[in-house]
Amino acid sequence: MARYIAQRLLQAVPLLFLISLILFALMQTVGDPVATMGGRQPLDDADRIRLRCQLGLDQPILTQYVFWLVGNDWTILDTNCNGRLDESDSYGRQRGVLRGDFGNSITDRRPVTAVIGEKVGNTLLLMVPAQVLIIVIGVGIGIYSALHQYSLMDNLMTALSYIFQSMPIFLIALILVYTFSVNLNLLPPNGMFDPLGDRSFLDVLRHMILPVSALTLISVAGYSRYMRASMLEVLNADYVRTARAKGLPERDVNLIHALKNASLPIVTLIGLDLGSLIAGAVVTESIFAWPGMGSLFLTALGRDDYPVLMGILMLTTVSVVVFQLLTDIAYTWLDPRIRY
Amino acid sequence: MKAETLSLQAAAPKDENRAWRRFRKHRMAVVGSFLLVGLILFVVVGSILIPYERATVPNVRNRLQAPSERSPFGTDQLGQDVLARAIYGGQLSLLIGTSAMFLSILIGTLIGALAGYYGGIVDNLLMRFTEAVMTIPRLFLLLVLAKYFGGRMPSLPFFGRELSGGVLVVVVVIGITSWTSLARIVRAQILSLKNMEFVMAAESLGVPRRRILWRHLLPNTLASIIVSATLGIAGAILSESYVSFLGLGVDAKTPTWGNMMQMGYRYISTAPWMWIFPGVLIVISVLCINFIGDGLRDALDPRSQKG
Repeated sequence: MARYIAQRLLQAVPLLFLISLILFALMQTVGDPVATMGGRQPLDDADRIRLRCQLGLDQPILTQYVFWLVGNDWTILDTNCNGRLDESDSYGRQRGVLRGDFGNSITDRRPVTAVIGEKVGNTLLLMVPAQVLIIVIGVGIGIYSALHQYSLMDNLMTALSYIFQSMPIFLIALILVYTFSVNLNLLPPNGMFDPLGDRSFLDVLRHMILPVSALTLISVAGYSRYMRASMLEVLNADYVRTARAKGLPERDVNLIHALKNASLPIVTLIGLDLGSLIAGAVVTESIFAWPGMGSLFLTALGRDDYPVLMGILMLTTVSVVVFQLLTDIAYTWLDPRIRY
Repeated sequence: MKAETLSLQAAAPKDENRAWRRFRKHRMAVVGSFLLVGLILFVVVGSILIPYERATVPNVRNRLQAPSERSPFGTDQLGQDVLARAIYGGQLSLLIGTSAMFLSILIGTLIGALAGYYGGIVDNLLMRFTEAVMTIPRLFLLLVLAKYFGGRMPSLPFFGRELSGGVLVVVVVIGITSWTSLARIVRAQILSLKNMEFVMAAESLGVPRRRILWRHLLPNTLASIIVSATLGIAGAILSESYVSFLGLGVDAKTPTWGNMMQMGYRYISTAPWMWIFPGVLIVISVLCINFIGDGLRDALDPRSQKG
């Protein structure tokens, strides 16, 4: 087991390097962050060149990548941007991603870790309750549907899950906003606080209801289908028939013998979803104007703020990789039939 | 060699019949097929009946009109007819979905086949790359790429209309992000097929490796490619709507269901018809394509598990 984990960790390292290289290459060509910096007044050429130099954008891409990865505090750079190295130039200031420095945001010069740090909480506030609801409701419906296969309820749930799986999340979000905010005037359509409110927990809770519902509705379908299928498969297994033949009560057979084994595959699904939780939901956050990672990503993309983009992307990717590993470990622990 | 060809030819029609029978037995797939034909008729016949100008020429005196006899789906913020936009936008959304699917099938099959058949370092490199692409959250990758290609594509002529370059951007971007799972499926199938006797026979006859791959191995993976292609269209239609909804896809000059939703969202309370109709059309098209995909899976690939 320890060997397996070590092996997986060793595999994850080159994978993350490869991903960071691909993403970094894409970032360089996404757009010119300097182009939008002058605001209404276009920059003149001298300013533009100096800005690019100060931001380190004039370096070759591979150099930029190395600086981003390991920092540039070990080498003397043309920090006064006069086009040559002289005695007033000094060492760079970046410490590099490997030492926990994701650089500074190009638009407001604050460290990327701080910019991201203040949004992560908001995103998790939205995503964690949604994920809990998705798991509880999805698994519940799945079990019910499997135990009452082809009943009216099962067929209804099947139909609904097909429809929700074919729906873009923004349509659900718009329907919810239209119904509960515009027509019934019950819940706030967007934001995290009332502009005139007291910023209390209850206020945030009221603002959470619609986005969390949208996120839940869109994903419950997949979970319940998956759970139903895996439960049905187990219910037809030999050991369940044996349990019935022994005369065990139906309840025990279903809940102990069947459910325990049927929940294994769902662990994989949960593990994969947990990994990308931190990325937030771009579309949902954008519709509900929720100040989380998804909104931050869109803003950063709009401003070509590539250090922030890289920060978000790498944070998410690392989280996905880590949760994949954790899922695999949890799986072997839960299912003794699997041995590495 | 000859005997094998003969027996394959003899077996083929019977198999097709069996697949067709199984497909017909999948009730929802049949309903889905009829709905899809209806939808295609809607966007094709509609464009014959309603001129393109109604969808794209602003008429400010006719802004934000509720559905009426003159314009059954209402009008948008520029006075353009929503029905006309839904028809022409539907053509594009379906076209984008299909083209993106072809691109992703091409990439996925190629990578999966090469990795599976050549093995070794080729396999290792290609699969690490596939894994890397799979690990980055899809929507993030889609948006970054859409921004990357945005404004770099030429506009296209299409049946006498000028389509914005965004169409090509969306097709390329969806195509190059959605091939990963197919690549894995094809690789796995090739891996299991390449040790079978008919491949060994071909090898011992001296058939070139490339020919073995294209003529003997790939045709045997066709069933999963077809299923994945069908479901891929549905996924691509959804992806297009996401990218356009976030304003990084096709611009509003050329209507698609996705950018109609983006505009409609700003008039969520005053003109709900602007987003309800394209929204429902997206759901119907994705739904029936998914049904057809499920039916095809049951028909062509009975061993695979149902989701």
